[in-house]
Amino acid sequence: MTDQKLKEILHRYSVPEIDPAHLRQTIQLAQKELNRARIYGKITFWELLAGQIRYISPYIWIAQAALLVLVFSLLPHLSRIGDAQQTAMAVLSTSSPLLALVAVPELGKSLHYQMWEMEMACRFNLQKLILLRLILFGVADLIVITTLLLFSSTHSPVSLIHLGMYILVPFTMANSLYLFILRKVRGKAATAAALSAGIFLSLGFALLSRFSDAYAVTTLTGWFLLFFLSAWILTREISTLFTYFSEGEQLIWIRS
Amino acid sequence: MELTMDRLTKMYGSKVAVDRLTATLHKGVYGLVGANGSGKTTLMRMICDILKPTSGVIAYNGTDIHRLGEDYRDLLGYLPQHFGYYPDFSAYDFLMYMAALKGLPQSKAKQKSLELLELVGLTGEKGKKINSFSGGMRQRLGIAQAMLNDPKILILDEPTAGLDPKERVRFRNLISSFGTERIVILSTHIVSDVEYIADEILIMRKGTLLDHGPVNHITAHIHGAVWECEVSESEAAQLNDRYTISHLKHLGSGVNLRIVSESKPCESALPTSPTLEDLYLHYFKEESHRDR
Repeated sequence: MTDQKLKEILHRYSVPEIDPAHLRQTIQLAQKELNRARIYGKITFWELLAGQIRYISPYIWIAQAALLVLVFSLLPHLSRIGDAQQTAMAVLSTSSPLLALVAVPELGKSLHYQMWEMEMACRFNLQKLILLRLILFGVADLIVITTLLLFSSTHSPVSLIHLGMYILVPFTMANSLYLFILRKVRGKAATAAALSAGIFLSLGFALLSRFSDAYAVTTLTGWFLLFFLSAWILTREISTLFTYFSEGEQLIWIRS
Repeated sequence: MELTMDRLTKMYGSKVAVDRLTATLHKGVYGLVGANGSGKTTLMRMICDILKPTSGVIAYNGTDIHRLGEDYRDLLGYLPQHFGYYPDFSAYDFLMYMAALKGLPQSKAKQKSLELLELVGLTGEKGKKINSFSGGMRQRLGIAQAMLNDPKILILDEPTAGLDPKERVRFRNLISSFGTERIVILSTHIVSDVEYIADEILIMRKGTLLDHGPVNHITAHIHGAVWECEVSESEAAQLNDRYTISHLKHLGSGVNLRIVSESKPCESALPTSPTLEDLYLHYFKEESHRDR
């Protein structure tokens, strides 16, 4: 085939002139398709976690800070006027159920405000949201507990391990109880029930540590056993809670 | 795009809420119609992966939705029948919060939230707390959150509840436009809400799918069973006791009745074209008599 013949063939299929209106329309359609298509990336669970901090009620952080301030001001004062060991036991064991209690309204808010159904149908569903909230409160509680421990160790002759047990055993027990209540109590009464349980638990530990020999006579091994037992119960309770938050039936029941 | 339900069953103890329901849905608007307690909400919750079926399978493009998990929920937009909001949220905060749960990056979330606030006519109220909103405004906000992730499957449970007539018309037009590119399932017991916008009607009773198809197709099933007549007040009262009346209008000279009945209800009755409302009354005779 000669070049001339080739040219002739190519001329037969020459590209038509572009109509500006058609060009505009093509661009518009492409833009529309671009907006419609999911070309944007999705955020990861950890990005969601970072973003959710702003949606946690500021009252949670205020309440935790207030509890710290209360312990900071009470512990040195009470240690001076009474038995330092008993004071440390009482103050720490009383405050830890209250520390755990602070997060309860936030954990139960999806059910309380009837957001659970919408949240369950999202990419990061209610189960993940609860996990996320537990991580956030867990980290915050860890910081508060560490601060409490370090502070009380400077004002008490009791060893750091003992002090740790005085905080952690009531803390894990209280958490198990609150999670159980969140699962079992219907409707908005759950938060009120958890509040009442927290106050009673706190008073109970206060009385036990102040007026009973139970704390003093319990050996460190005994405390460790208590801690592992309560931690095991708490782990089970968290696991049950996750199963529970993945089952719509349970949530429909609890909302009814 | 295909959503299939194969012998879908949901039981609460011994009570059957959805009974071996089988259907295949493609792009378009589906009106799910049924009396209270017919299983509409349970079905929608199963489609949204909120409730697990007792037996049967829901599949999206051939894959079980449980296996798809997060990827399936990514395609989903859901407006529940009863929903709340966190009291400290403004309309914009609410959409941003829901957008985060739907996995949208912040810049996209901002853009979509503003776009949807505009679409549902709440731009002026974006900074206002939701607890100051009327029922209709909250409902519109609920619809906006369902659309945040450009869902391929949009499930709306009684979305017109609480909307005034003007808002209902606006909403119907909105849904109609959504249906061109996605599967929209809209449950209601107000048949006029779906009569003109649904490509297909699904009628549920006692957990089963009683009938389905385009409006003109399913209303044809009761062709010859809808009558119109003009009778005296006393005769109207008698007919009202014996038949299902879909429409009653007092005129100066008597009463104009529209009756749903297999047999001719009175001498002056003339057959007329059935509507979806007539069909609903035909299927839900018992419920409408019980409600009287």
